[in-house]
Amino acid sequence: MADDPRSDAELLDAFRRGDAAAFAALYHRHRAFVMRVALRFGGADHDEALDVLQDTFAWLIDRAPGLALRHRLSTLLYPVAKHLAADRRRRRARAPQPLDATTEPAVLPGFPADVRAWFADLGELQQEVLGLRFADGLSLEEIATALGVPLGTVKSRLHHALRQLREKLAAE
Amino acid sequence: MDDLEELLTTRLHGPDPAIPPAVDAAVLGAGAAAARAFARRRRLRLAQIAAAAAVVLVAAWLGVHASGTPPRPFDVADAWRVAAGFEHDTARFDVDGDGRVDRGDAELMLTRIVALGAQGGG
Repeated sequence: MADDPRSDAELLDAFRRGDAAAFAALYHRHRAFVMRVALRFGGADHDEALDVLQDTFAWLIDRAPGLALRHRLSTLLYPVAKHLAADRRRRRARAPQPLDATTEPAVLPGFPADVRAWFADLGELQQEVLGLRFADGLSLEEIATALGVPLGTVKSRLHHALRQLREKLAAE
Repeated sequence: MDDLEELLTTRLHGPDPAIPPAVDAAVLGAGAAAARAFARRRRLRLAQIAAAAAVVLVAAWLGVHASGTPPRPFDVADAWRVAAGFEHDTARFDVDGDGRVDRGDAELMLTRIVALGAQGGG
């Protein structure tokens, strides 16, 4: 499906006026992003990520009348998908586990195994910044909005995370 | 972008995750239903505004008529033109200054017009 030339804000406005095609354009534009976030925070469980995808867009439909967009829609969808996925992961973790079950990794579980090893020494916020920057292609301003932190915090976390990674990879 | 950033982009981005058509259909179906509901609500709101605008126009016509100036006929198209103004010209029609253009503004306009008509008609 070819991407609609309208901005996210224009599409959201059109959806609120009753344009179903505008909603479809928003969905196709952001569904892969929501799935990546759901997999990253949900522990790479594909079926659960699909549930998170549906719940995230159900949230968007429900809140559409009152939403104000300053950046791309992904900055609003990110915390929703993240919390929905993390909630599901926590619920799974509380459920009785088989005796040989492995414990949840400290790093974001949806990253590939080699990347998880690189990220093992980084804080969760640093990992989130790296994910949003390099997995999702968000700008630094968009990352700050998505995480609800100042731009300076994003810049410093990214800078320190990259420096730590360079040192770690150089030492290997 | 340096080598590390390129490496991270390659390792983290990857191909888009697969989404079954049934999931797409469920989400898009919910979106289409919501869009229909939004459209219905919008039409209802426009009809309410048009009705309020029609009341204002009737009052204006009566006021002008009472003042002795030759009356100007009005019709439904006038009401819709005013309704469109209500929708898009917020600053002009927000006569009660509450930041919204709604029935309260129409009623306030009606009150003022009737008052003017009464003065003009003596």
